[in-house]
Amino acid sequence: MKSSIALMLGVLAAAAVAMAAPQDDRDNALHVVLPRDAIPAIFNPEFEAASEARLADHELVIGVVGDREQRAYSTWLLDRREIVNDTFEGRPIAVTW
Amino acid sequence: MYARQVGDRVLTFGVSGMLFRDGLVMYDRETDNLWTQVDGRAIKGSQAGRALEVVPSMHATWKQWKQLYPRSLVLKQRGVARSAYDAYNRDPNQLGIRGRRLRDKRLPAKERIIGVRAGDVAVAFAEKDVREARIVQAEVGSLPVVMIAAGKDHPIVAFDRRVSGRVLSFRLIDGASDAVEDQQTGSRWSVADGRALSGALKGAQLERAPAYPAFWFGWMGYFPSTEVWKR
Repeated sequence: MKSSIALMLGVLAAAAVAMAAPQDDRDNALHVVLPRDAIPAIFNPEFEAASEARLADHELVIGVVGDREQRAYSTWLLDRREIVNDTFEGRPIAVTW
Repeated sequence: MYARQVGDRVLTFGVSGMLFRDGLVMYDRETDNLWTQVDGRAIKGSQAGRALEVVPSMHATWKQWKQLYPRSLVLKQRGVARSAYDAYNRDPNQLGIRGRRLRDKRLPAKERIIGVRAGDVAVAFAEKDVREARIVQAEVGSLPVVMIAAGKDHPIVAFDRRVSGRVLSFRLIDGASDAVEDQQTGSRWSVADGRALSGALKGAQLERAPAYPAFWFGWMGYFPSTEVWKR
């Protein structure tokens, strides 16, 4: 979980930060920083066995553990996708970052 | 991580492009509501005020994860060599993209925490404090939880300590990092999946605690009255 989106904008993000007064913790405004779906969520996730996966040892993952299955989602990938719409042990879940 | 089932409907979430208190705002394609990611709450639309059910999840490095869960599945990817937010994640002064003042300094802003919510109570556990303690028994409101960091190369796991209405407490076992023992019956429990491996409770199963990882500043923006676990 991370506050992140507009970092995707690179130079634009820097400009946005420069223009925005610092928020405080009680800010209740919704701030539009990107068009809807500019960061594409994942709707049909594909998986591979841990033994096949080539992640870096220090790569941070989000994991979920069920009765029979376990799944890991790389946060390096989630940085670019933010949400995975998945089904885990028959239950629809949203992996969010 | 949240359940996508809300009432009798299954929702599909996309990225709204908006931020609320520097956290991701999602929208759902079925009802077009806006949902905040940090607390899973609908903040705008026909379902405003409703909350998604937390699915317990955990953080780990890949090395830690594959050691505990070698038979797991991994979301497929291609050529992502590092985090796009590497610099951001490391910079202690950049709080959120819009820049933010942090009022609550009980923990450093970018401290990685494990947040646990039960009813109206929220508790933040600093990952480094849990690692230092190796095993933590605590109450989140009326929910008794245990967090275990059995070894340096183990991810932190969090379980509900209730089994059939009884509240257990756990201790580490000398020389074993894959199991803990409960003090009530001496049964041994697998750290990886929370199942009793031997002893009077053999076969019993601990439920995962409703825990998930966050940055301190993100968590406290949404749960300003959060407690912070201290040893």
